[in-house]
Amino acid sequence: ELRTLRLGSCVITANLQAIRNVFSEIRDSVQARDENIDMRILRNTGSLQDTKPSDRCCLLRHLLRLYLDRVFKNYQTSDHHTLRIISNLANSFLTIKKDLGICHDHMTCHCGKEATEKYRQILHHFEELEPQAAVVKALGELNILLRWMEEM
Amino acid sequence: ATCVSGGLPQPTNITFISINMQNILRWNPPAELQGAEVTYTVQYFIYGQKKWLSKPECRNINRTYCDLSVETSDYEHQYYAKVKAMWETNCSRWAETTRFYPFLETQIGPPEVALTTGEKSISITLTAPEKWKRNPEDSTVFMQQIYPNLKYNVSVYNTKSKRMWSQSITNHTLVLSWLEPSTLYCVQVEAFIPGPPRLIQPSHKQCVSTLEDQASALKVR
Repeated sequence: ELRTLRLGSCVITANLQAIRNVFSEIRDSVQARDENIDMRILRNTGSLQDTKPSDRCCLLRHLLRLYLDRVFKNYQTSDHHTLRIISNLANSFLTIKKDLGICHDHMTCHCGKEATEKYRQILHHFEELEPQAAVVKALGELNILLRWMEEM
Repeated sequence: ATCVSGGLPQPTNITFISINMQNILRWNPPAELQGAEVTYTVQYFIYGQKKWLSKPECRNINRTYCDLSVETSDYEHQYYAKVKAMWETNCSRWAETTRFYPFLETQIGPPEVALTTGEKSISITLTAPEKWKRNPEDSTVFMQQIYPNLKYNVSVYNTKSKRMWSQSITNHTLVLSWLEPSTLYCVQVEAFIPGPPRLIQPSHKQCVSTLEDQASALKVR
């Protein structure tokens, strides 16, 4: 079931439900490894849906790049099933990021102050943690990111 | 009251049973202590916040459940809960749930189903399941308002031909046409949300008979 994501004048579609189904296979095991439950990287204050539409594309692009470059790539596990699921998630994120790239090429993915500041805060929360702890927490919060995307 | 921690085995199978956002924590007594005068204390935690919180009504209780619907009513947040068992001067270590996300995990209760029959048809009218509310006089929120993509799976069984079929709908009315007259049909409906699997709560099976075929009734006279 494709979902339309309205990011200002950038409009793309994504199968968020399929991504959620895939992630649900590893959700509990990933979240069980998160020992810093008093910390949250994706906080309501930085949510996509509360970002003004014209800045959403840029913020989402930053978030997808964070997950692709620093979360999926660095999640350490010997479990092959989890690694296959993460690879699947990464491919889905690459597809969405490619669509956002098209918007960027068409000048509809503007990075305003709001997007830049919100991403700075999210990165700050991410980098507050020890690297692998941050990776584990960010992956465990994928549900929150998907929820933000659904709400747009 | 202080107790020797770890002196007892932990409660087991601690989990949130969530239906229409009514979130009840349930657990089993520690294995070897069935029947003993064990009491329990519950705490809960809002993911990303700073400390475990207590629920006074679930401190030193002997039942094995605790309704945390109020404490977990913001279904956009994620939660943990934990329970420890106490018996005389001993207590167990805490037993903790996995991270609980009401928005993703609540089961959708069945809709209300009303059937009216015709000669060769049955009209099905559904009333969407309601979200749990704190007070009966609170305004009603239907689960469909929280999940716009909520659908219904209608199963129909012809008791004469023993044939069964089902169809998925999004609105609240469905007319089954081209049925056989004077035949008992049974209908059951479940609400579901496309996405990760959730436990399903089907409605009670309701059976009604289509009316007698008027044309053949006239011929007989």
